[in-house]
Parts: sequence; structure tokens; C-alpha cells
Amino acid sequence: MTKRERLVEFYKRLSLAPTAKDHDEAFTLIETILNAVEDELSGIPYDLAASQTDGRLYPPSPMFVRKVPGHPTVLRYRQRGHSTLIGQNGAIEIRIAETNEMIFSKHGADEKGVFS
Amino acid sequence: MNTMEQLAHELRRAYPGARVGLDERLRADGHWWLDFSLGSNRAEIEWIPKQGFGVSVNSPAYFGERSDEFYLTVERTLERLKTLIDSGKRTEREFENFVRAIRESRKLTQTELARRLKIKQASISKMEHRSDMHISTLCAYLGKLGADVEIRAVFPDGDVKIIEFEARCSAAKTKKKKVQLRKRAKSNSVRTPERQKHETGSS
Repeated sequence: MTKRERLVEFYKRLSLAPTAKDHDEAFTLIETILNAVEDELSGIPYDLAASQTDGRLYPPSPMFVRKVPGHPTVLRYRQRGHSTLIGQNGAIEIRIAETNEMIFSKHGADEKGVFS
Repeated sequence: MNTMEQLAHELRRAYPGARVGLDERLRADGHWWLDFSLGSNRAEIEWIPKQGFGVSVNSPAYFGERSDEFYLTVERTLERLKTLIDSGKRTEREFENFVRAIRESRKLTQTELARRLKIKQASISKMEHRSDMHISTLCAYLGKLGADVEIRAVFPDGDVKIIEFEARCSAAKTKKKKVQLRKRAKSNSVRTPERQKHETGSS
């Protein structure tokens, strides 16, 4: 499958997954679902050492974390072209880094968004 | 000034009208990002301390994608960035670059190679834009360019030829031939009423 098709599947599964109740659960949810999609559909083995050139899609890592000014309950994970924001309530947003346009969002278990 | 701040400084000096933003890390071992834009040029540079720089220029990314190219030093990174920004070109994914370069070195167009492989030109384009490929696909691709595939592990004290891959390439060729023969045999064994009449001479 192409990267585009795999991403569609990732967003679909992430939308349908049960909501997370805190940051750690949301982080694990993204990691688990993206790795599962890539394991099943990319044909490329998980290998962090080769990740710069192997063509596999990799989830955010703790190495990418940043604070969000004015929002102490939100953490941002920067990757190429995108930022993933995760709230303490388990809510998730994925935004385009350059424009800050939101391309995916999911409420936390409290039914609130990342910034509410 | 750390390495990434040095790179940002050099870019601002080389391109005074550019927007250069630093996305600083939170953890001491975290990754830095530098965002550059000038006219229609866009660049993203990832600095992984103790490893090097991931570079992507004029190359939109899917979520979760890593950088297109990777350089060890700030000097080499800056040199590559300037080349791409000045020409308006984009970074190349290593695999894509390599398969296309081989085809072009044989002076073959995608259309001609597609004809030889009996597939559509769009499939060749897709193949060349993939970041990974089955060994059997690569064998077929290179085979039609007139190459034999040999894979070696190169060590400081000598090389090891990996015969396993050659066996797979041969197996891929053999399998393709077997499938063709099986299809031919099957089509020969089909007896339509018209054919039966023809063979038995009945009218």
C-alpha cells in the first residue's frame, strides 16, 4: 500500500479507537496504531536505526517533545511537517507544522479537546 | 551558539529575506527543527545531536515520514541546502534516487522500461517513488536494464557475497517462467465445443 493509503487507514483506526483518559494512554494509542498499520501494510520492518531512509512511517517519540506556551497541560511532538499535540485529558490533535492547520482531532475520555 | 543555531545564523546571512524559525528541543537529548521559507522554497532540517542533520527541501511530508536526506556535518548540510534553494529543486529520497539514476544511466525512458517489463509506465513511476522494494521486483527491474544482481556485505577485512539474494532473483525469474508455462499449458488444455469439433473433425 502507498503511504497515503496507509495514513488513511491510520486515521480511520485512530478515530474508531476508544478515547484515551490521559496523555500517556493517548501517546501509546498513536504509537500502537501507527506501528500496527505499518507492520500490516507497509512491508517494511520496524527499525529505528534505518528510519531515516526506510520509507516506513514512525510515530512520535519522547525525543520530539516540546511545551506549548500558555498551555501547561498540553505537550507537542514535532516531526517532519507535523506536530502532534496531546492533552493531559488524552485528547489528540495533529497539525501541519508550517500553517498550524489541524488535520486530525480526537477528544479525550472527558469528551473535551486538547485546549478545552 | 550550538550547531543548529549556527546553521540558522548561516542561512539568515545567506538569505536575508528568508524566514528562519528554530523549534527548540525540550529534552537535552531531543531533536531540534529548523523551518526555512523563501518565496516558494520550503526547507525543514532536523538536528539529531551526535548523529547529524535530516534535510527535506520542497518536499511535502506525510505524517510520520522521516527526512529525505541525511548529512553528518553542518557544512555539508548548508552546502546541500544552498544548492537546492538556489535551484528550486527538491531533496530526493535515497532509494528513489538510486533506481531512477540506474535507469537513466542505461538511457531508458520509463515508457520503454515499462514496455519491456510488460507493465504500465505509471507502475514504473510508482516503483521509482517507493522508498523500498521487494528483492524480486528489483531483480526484474534491473534484469530488464541488462544487469545481474549481486549483493555483497563489505567488511574492512574482506567481502562476503550473499548468495541467498541471487537465489531469490533466480527463483523470481524461474517462478515467472513457470507461471507463464502453466498458463500456456492450461490454455492448451481447455477444450471449447468449437475446438473439440475442429479436433474431431465433426461438423
